[in-house]
Amino acid sequence: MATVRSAAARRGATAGLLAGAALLAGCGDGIVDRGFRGVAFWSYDIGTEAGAQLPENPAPVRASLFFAPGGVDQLDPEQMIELSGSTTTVETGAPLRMDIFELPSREMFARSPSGQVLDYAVARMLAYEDITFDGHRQKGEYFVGINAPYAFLYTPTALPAEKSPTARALPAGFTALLLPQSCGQKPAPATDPDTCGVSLGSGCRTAQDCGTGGSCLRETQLGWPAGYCTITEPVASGGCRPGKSEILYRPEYSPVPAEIDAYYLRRCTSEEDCDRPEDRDRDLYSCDVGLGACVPRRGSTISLFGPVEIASICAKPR
Amino acid sequence: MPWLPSRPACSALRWPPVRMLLVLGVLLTGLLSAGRARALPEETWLIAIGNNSGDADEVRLLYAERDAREFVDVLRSQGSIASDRVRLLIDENADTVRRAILSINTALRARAEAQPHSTALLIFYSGHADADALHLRGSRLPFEEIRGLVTSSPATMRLFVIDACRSGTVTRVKGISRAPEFTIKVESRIEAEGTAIISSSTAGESSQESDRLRGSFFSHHLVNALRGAADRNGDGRVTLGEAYDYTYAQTLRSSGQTLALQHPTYWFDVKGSGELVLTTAGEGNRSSSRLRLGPASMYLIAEERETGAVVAELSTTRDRAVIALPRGRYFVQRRGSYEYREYQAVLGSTDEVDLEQLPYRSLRYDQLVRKRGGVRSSVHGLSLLAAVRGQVLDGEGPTPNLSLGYHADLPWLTVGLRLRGMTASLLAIDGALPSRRYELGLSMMLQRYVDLQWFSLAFGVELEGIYNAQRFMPGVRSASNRDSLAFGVGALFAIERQLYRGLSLRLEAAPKALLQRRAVLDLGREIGTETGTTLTWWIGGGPVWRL
Repeated sequence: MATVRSAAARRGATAGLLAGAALLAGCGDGIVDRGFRGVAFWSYDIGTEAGAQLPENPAPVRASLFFAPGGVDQLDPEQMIELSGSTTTVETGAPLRMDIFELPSREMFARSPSGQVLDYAVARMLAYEDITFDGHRQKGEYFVGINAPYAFLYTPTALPAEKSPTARALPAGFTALLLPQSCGQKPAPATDPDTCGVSLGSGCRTAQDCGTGGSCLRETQLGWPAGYCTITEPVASGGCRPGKSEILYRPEYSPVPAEIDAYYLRRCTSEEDCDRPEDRDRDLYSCDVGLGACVPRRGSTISLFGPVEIASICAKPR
Repeated sequence: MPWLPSRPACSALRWPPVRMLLVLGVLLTGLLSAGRARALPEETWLIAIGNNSGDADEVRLLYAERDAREFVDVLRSQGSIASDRVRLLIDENADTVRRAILSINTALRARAEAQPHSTALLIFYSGHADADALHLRGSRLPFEEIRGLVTSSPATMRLFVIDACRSGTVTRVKGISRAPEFTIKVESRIEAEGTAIISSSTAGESSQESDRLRGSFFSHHLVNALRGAADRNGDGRVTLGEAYDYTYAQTLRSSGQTLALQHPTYWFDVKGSGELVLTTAGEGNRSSSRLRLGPASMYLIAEERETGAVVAELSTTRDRAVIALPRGRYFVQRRGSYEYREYQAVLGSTDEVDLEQLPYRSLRYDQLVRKRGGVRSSVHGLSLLAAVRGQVLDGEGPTPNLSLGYHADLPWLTVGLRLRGMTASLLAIDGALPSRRYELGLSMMLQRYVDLQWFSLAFGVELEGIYNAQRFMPGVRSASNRDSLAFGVGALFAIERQLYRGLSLRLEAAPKALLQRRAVLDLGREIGTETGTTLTWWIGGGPVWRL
């Protein structure tokens, strides 16, 4: 009897010890190791795809935001500054989430031609081969990819239109801008205060779904899921230019037919304006605050080991 | 385990109410002046009475007769009492004792009438007694009668030593307060005359025997005192005052390790005199040799080897004290503050052997505790260790640790507590987000030591509760500080080497497992937490100080 009791007591003590240990170890915050990079200020999801020049044994490919101190007109990536708090490793073919763990420093902010530091910083998402395996781009490491359809803008405080490079007020923080931005340019005065009878931004299969004068946009430099009713510029002779719309100029380096100069898009001031009840997925479009228009929420990719062509942020109308 | 297992030499319950007893007259002459080398006058008579048997219903004593023999031996060898003036009465009844005293009184009276000179009478009794009488093998010798016998003795100086329960009744000391320092000394050189009585306990106390000492506490320490342990001033002679003071202190110390304290008492009425010298242990003689001890300390002297019969357990208050012992081979153990030193001493043809010139073996107290020997049941110690622990968090690498520990060496194992601190800096994988982690651990350790000749090995387990604080430096990145608790367990392996006294050097190593709460990360971002185990290692070293 005594033996049974002492064995039970030992089991009880062991169980108590383990329970106490587990309880002790379960208290508090989780400690972090070197893999922890901080709290993300912003995140951006994107796809990846392999280009035609994929090498056999590439070095690790990283993607980062590269800021252009020269502002919206700076296109040379070698002059841009990498935000190390945005660097992430790219797996070709896998979706990529870029977390932004730090804010751009002052030297990354755009400057006026006179050298004055402006209230915003603009960046491109570029990928490079990290030959030195140090997690940062060094001189001589090649750029091997770009998220070409988008540029990124950061402003610490809300930016009024007169100070914004897009000529539209921008909220504080990071903003993804679909290129090219109109930057206040318009091809011609509107001939109709409304949308010329075209349901701009609605889903479509063919142009007939959009009404007279309308077109069904399926692809520019990125796909327009479920179709997007638009009016193209130049409009036909005597055609209608909608006043209640915003303009997306023809993107550089895109498969858009050469005869098209621009698209008239659905105007928006909030995400609700881009809601499309007819879509099975009602989250396909979002409001681009730089354009003031509804554009695809997703669909851009980084094409790796293809041409790295950096488009202007502001459109250059023909 | 008390160092000196003991038992009362008599039963307290059977004693009649204490009654104030008359002062015994014990005659003694032979007061020695300070300049005399000889201890006692030539005509000193000694009656030593040892009775293991008292009344029929009393527990038979084991060592009372041996006490009497030891007392006779030391006074014959160190006090120079002639053999023909010694009466050793072992297991005799009251009539025999009575006749012996009468016979000596008659002899003294005859000599005094022929030629007056200094004489002394010493009576030593070890055995059963109560407040009224000595118990002598079924017979009784009332104290009233003894008083008559000794007061009628013509000896000029009388000393009566009684080692029995409640013997304090004869000195009229009932309480347990310390008596004033014992001094029989006057400035003039006239001879002493009077009576001194020393008892082994107060009127309300038991007197105890010890199997370890093979005698009663009181008699054992009195004999040691006369061998030289009580020679406070180092003049080679032991006075009555020195002997009493030493015996009082040592009897109290020894009985303090048992359940009942025992306070020797005294009474005296002496006129004239210089110092009353009982033995000249420091001067040696043909039958004994002298052992010069080391620093003032406690010494255990046994016959032949450690497990031999205990000859003396004594405590010296003076460095380099000299003890007179019969010639022979002895095991001597000096119990210092930090260690035991064990010697083998051979007292042979040379007059004196110096312990400090002999080789010795050193034994620390913690080792003694683990051997379940010595006087202490535990040894306490502090440690300060610097250590390195293997990587716990990716990126931290091995981390420096500092720990402050307390431990108690117990007979079967060593139990310890340890407070550990650690700090380490960390950078995120991309070189940013500097942070510092602080770890505070409180652990309990159970260790088992194996003592070898030059060092000790230890192995055991350590259970630790850990507080973690992770602090992020202000910078371009944002992260909130983190606090959590964790649990650790380790298997300790250690080696210790004594450096100096209680100071040792300890080196230890351990595999450790930590159960802690960790963040689950996805591409540098925290997406949750989990509780997981990390295996690591620990290696450290530093001083250990045993108190």
